[in-house]
Amino acid sequence: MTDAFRFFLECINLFFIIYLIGYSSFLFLSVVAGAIELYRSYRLEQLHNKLWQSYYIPVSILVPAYNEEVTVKDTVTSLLNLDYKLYEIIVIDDGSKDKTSQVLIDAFHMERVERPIRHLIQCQPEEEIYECPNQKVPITLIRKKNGGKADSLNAGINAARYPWFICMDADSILQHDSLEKIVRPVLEDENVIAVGGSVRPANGVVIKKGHVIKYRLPRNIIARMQSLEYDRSFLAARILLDKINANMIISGAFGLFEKKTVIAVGGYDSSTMGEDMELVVRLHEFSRMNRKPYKIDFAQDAICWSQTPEKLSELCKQRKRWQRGLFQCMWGHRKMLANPRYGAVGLLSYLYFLLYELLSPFIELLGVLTMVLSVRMDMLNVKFMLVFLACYALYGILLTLTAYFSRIYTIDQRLSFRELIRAITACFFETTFLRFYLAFVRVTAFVGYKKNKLSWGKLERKKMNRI
Amino acid sequence: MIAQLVIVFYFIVCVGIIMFNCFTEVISRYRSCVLKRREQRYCEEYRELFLENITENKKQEKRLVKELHSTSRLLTFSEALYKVENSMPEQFQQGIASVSRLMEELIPVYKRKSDMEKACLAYVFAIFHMTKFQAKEIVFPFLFDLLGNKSLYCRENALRALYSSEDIHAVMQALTFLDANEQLLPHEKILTDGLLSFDKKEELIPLLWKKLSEFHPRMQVNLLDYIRYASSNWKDEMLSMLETSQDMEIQIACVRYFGRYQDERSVSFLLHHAEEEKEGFWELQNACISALAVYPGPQTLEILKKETSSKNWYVRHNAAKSLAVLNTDREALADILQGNDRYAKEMLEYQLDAVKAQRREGL
Repeated sequence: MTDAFRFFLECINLFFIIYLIGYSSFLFLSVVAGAIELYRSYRLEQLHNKLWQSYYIPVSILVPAYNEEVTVKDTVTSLLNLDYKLYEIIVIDDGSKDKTSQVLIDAFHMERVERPIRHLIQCQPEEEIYECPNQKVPITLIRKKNGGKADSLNAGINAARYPWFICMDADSILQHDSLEKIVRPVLEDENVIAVGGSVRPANGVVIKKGHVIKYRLPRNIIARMQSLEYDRSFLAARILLDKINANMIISGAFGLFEKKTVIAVGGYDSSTMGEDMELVVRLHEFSRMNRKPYKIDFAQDAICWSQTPEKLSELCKQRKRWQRGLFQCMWGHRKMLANPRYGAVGLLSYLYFLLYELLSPFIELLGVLTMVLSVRMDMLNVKFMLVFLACYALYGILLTLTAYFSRIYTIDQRLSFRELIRAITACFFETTFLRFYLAFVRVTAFVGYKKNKLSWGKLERKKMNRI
Repeated sequence: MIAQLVIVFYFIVCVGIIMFNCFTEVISRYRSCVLKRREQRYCEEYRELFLENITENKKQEKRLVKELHSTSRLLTFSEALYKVENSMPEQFQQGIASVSRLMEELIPVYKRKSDMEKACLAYVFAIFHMTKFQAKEIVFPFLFDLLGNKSLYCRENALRALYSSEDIHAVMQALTFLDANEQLLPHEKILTDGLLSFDKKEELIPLLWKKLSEFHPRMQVNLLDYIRYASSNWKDEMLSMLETSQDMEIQIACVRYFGRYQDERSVSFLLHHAEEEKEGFWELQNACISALAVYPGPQTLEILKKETSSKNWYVRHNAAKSLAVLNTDREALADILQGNDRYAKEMLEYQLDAVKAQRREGL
């Protein structure tokens, strides 16, 4: 029995060594690639390697909204402050139970119209349509039966007049130049079919007419930890995967898509929680199956400020939702796993998301259980384990801080000593506490899966800092 | 044993990361404090040099050229020029010609540098219109070399520098070069909007017309779009192109021209293609229907009314919109508004209301 358990432990040891080397190598490579790319972008800007003027390709901005009466007016107002000439705003009220629509109708003096819309993608029918011709750009409000975010986006795509659309959240704010920056990859490469923007936690930022007046790490520790986590994942992993055209996710908070291609793949899938990732994976699949040259790009300087949960309970709800969405997407496209037909997406990206995102909470739980069992059987070298954990934590903290510093330095911002200490402490708690806590939360995401598989839960919204 | 080796390895990596971050922090502080002050000092020095007419002092000239071998100094120098241009435009105009010729000496140096730095030099040439004063046999080969670079920014800066030379033959040569190397052709918007920055439009366009048929169709469409934005004086040529071209995209570009600048001679073409539902040509039909919005008349009305019942959604949409833009009387549209075609009725009602609302807002 002891021999069998010893053998089992050896196998687990080997597995974890390979697993952790794989993860730490990927993290290291991605932070290095991210830092190099950020520096390269910084140098391009410094040396005036840029497009001379804003070349405007027409864009429709789709804002699905459900019970967003607190934030929706500010979001639309911020969209009117964009330094861009040719775009429209379409807000899709997904059967809100609060005054989301009325807030917009009153604020922008919208009038009801009987506008015929071509249903290129199936979605719940529109109940009312309002338009407002007297603003800087056309604003359309669509009220429809509740069908979920994906369904709302599909309704928005049907109504969109322009060949490109942006999906964003109703509680997010774009910077004055975000549209211009997210459109740039389209001008640089005709094969681009989608571009992801960079999402940053808005907690702690003060924005005036699309310009960031003040930025510091959020006061709230939960939001602060997420801020560093976002830097690590956006600036590291996405940039690396972008280099090999294997990005499997464009954040639903801010992404640009070519309308005709999205229509060709059937629009957003309303049967999944992770509709943003699912669409991107489908775009990869469609383009590769049809041998169509394509690129899914990432514009790290196209910034969207989005609210992140400040309470642990809200954060848990969000991460459970993400985990369920991730599972649905991965399961739905499981044929991509290690399939050379899908190139780097199948051979590398899918594998990474499977092992280090979807299964990681279970693997970490297995690790914890194994440690507990080893302690019981007196087979654990506690001193070695502590050294190992310390090294692992230090490594993760340093890479996260590197990603954070890379972003700060390449926008010529200076870190005060106080901000530095706050960043380090937040990093420490994120790596040593929050990660493990969220891993446990993600494991429990599948409890009550059948009942909750499309449920968002109740989300608390608050107004963002704005002058 | 392996596990211990791995831990030691990762500790070493951690130490390396800490050192890298500390080094970056030190460099960042140095850059923001020391370097910035030094750059400001140089900027003032260069400004004074320029105002003293640097080219009168050979020793200073040589020193300056040597200093400008460094890209950061080149940027500082351009900042100084920018300040002079804004605060003392007359002095700037007096001195820029000689400074431009001095800058030619940087070309052999920057040719050996990275693409980003070459593009930077082209940028400086472009913003101060230096290419106007420089020897073409020296600067144009450099710019054409950049035009063949895979970096879009190199090509964009080179094009801008060529546009600023006000040399129409150089611009034609650039367009011919890009046309011959289709993979280097920038996005249509970049090409068309960029050309609009070229000042001598009315001299360039005749040359374009002369050589238009030699370009590939894609380039022809881009140039026709440029002409549409640039000038209304080319109706004869555009009409000839419209009637003789077999390429649908080229025809659409010409139709758009006549949608912007009215010419009754185009009406017969527009009317014919507006009602012709040919398989695979609905875009041309659609473009003609849109253009008819500026050609009121009984035939226009008849065709647009008919096309509000088209099977194609976009054709119905544009036909209804054109009818609304023409300010057609509701009585004249009664057969549709009270007719049996629900789709035509809905579309027309919506467009009439939308155009009315826009007019009310002065749009």
